[in-house]
Amino acid sequence: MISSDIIRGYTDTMILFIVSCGDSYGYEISKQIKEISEENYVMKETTLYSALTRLEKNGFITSYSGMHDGRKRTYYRITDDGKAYYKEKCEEWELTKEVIDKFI
Amino acid sequence: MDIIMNYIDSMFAGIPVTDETSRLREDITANMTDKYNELVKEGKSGNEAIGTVISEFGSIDEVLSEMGITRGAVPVVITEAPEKKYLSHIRTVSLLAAAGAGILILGIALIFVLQYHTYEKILSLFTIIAGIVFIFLSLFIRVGFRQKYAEIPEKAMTVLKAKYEAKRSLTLKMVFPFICIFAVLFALFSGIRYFNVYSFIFMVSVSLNLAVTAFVYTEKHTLAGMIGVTVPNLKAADILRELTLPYFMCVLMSVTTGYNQFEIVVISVVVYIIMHLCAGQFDTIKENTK
Repeated sequence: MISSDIIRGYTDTMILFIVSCGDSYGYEISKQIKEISEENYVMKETTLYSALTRLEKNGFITSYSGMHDGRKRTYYRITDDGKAYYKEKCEEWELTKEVIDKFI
Repeated sequence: MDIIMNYIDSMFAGIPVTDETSRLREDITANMTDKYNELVKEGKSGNEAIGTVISEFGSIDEVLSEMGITRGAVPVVITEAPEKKYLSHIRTVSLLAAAGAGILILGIALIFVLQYHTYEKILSLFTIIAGIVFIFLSLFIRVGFRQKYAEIPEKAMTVLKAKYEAKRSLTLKMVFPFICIFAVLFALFSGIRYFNVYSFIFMVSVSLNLAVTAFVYTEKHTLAGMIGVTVPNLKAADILRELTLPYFMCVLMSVTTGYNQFEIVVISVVVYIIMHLCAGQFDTIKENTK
């Protein structure tokens, strides 16, 4: 399990990646994060929602109400700004990796 | 499942209920329920599943700080929302009642004045019906208004009450009675001096106007009484102001513009509606600038 401190700067990037594959809602997003990370990282409920709130405020995602299994869900969709921001974060990560690798 | 629900209840305790937080609560509840069901399906025991779900909740303060909400802000949020609702309801109700009455009076006046052609009769009939529809609409909203305000917490009502009680300014109370007495005398004089059919209609319609204004105004207080608040205290000066301002305006116009009495009837209705529109806005503006 990776500690949430280390990953904090990239929770937004992870969520953006998930919603860029298609509109999704809270539980589905956290489930996919768990699956993709091969259960090495589990995003806490409140971490997920603070990230979603932040992303929505910044205009990187938009939300709408939808139904899933007869229950009301808030779905999230990535915006063009969100896609651009995701690309930026990916480039940033490549650089970070290069720098950190020099010390490993 | 009850344990999870209780956990969520305790996490959201003391957090102001807004659209944003209720949506958050709804979503988090749905997620935790899904997660629980899936874990049980995977063969985990109920207790194990609850343990995992709760351990993966995190800290509610993390989301709240992102939303810009603090627990200390609770009373402010509770008192402001009903206040705005309250003001907008008063405005809608009195506006509709006033517009309805005004249009109704216009319709009645039209019966007297326009009766030479069929289309004129239809016009006056249509106007009367429109007036009645408006009045019924206002009654309808009034009933909803009463039901809605049964839900407002008592604490919020106390704050609302205190705000309204300190509302009317002394200047208004001093100046308006004087203007009012002057206006009534003036109107009476002009009514007797130039008496004819039109001035009769004018007097009747303006009187009806006054009656309805009184009705709307007192109704505001009755409504407030029903929900346990004394909105502005009903003072003699306030009543005089409400009752005689449109009257004064009409008389002033008939004297200064030289319009005939029928035109004045029409103008009085317009002034009456505008006045109530302003009165509604006035209440809101004053509340917001405090």
